[in-house]
Amino acid sequence: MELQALIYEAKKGSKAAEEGLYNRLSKKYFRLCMRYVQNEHDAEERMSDGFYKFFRCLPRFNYESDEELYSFISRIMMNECITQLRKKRLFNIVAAPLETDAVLDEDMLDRISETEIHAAIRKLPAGARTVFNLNVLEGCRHEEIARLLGITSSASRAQLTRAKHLLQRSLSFLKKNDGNQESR
Amino acid sequence: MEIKNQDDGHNWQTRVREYEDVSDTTFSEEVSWKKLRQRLDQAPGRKKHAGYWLAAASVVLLVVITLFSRVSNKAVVPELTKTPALLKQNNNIPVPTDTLLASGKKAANPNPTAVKKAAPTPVDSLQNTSVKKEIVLPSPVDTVFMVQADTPTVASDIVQQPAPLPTVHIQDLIDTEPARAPVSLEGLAVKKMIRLFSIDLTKDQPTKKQEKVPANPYSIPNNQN
Repeated sequence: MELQALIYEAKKGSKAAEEGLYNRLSKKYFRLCMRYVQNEHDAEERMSDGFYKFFRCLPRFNYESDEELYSFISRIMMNECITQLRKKRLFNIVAAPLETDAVLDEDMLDRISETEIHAAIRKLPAGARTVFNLNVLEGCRHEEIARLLGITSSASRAQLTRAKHLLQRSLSFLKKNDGNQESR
Repeated sequence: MEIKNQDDGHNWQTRVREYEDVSDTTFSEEVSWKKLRQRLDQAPGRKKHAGYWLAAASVVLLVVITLFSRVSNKAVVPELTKTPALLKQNNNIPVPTDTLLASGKKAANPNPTAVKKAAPTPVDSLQNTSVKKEIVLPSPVDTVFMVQADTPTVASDIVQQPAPLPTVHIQDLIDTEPARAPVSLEGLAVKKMIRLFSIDLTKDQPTKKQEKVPANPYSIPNNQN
């Protein structure tokens, strides 16, 4: 069953359609929450809260495309995760930017599996991880990130530089290990 | 939220965004769905509770409004009753019935606190002062309202006060009488009696002199014999 049909049935009040939607989307958004929240249990809680809100506001949702639906739910999940991070004061935002601007090796990232990239992102500190997710993966601008997290845009830039620097180092180390294993 | 178009040259980002493998985690789809289903089913119950809360709030609101209206009614009682000294003073003073009738009120109430004050009038405000002991207030008909020059009014609306009569002392009349008309003391005494009491004493025994007395007691005829 297509997403549009599931949305249509769920808007009518069909519980089966709601379950169908959940089965189709839960894994994707569980992974999204895992990128923001390190703890698995917390990530599941945030995802559950996000789906609860989504089903509550489903009667007012107008389906236009799958991409728009994904974007809509992503935004709900993202807000849930950021709210929790702000409540727990997990951000350790450093405003001072690094001297050298770190650049991610895109070619290297293309050759690494998504599981490894995921694992590397999850190892980042909370502030750097959140800014990296919002800027690089969700496409938010620094001004918007600053507003969402309650920080300055310069602090957001500094956190992104730090995240890229740490990620590049982590992935380089991973690639080096893989190269050593291949040579053996 | 502005989303950049990043899917063109960066495949790793798309792969990370669409990554759905949860095999390395303890996530169970069925268990989490059951929990969510329970939460969603509990939601309508909350609406019922909201209805009860709304009903309770409306009852509380009604009680508050009732209490507030009572308090506001108490506040209407005149300020004079709030001071016990003045209250005691006013109860001891007998207010003449004529005064109350003239001001359009009924008999005096011994307990002023029980009286609900009507719309305030100029007469009421005067009665609440200590002047009440000394003077008799004029009736509302005699009250002249000051009208400003630029206020358009109808002339018939303004009640005109009668012009005051000139006050003449009786001694002045006595002093002037001999100069004007030299008469006997006996006749003068009789005239004084007539003027003072306004009684026609000479009615039983009419004489020529008494018939000539004019209607106005203040005017004295010059041609007395």
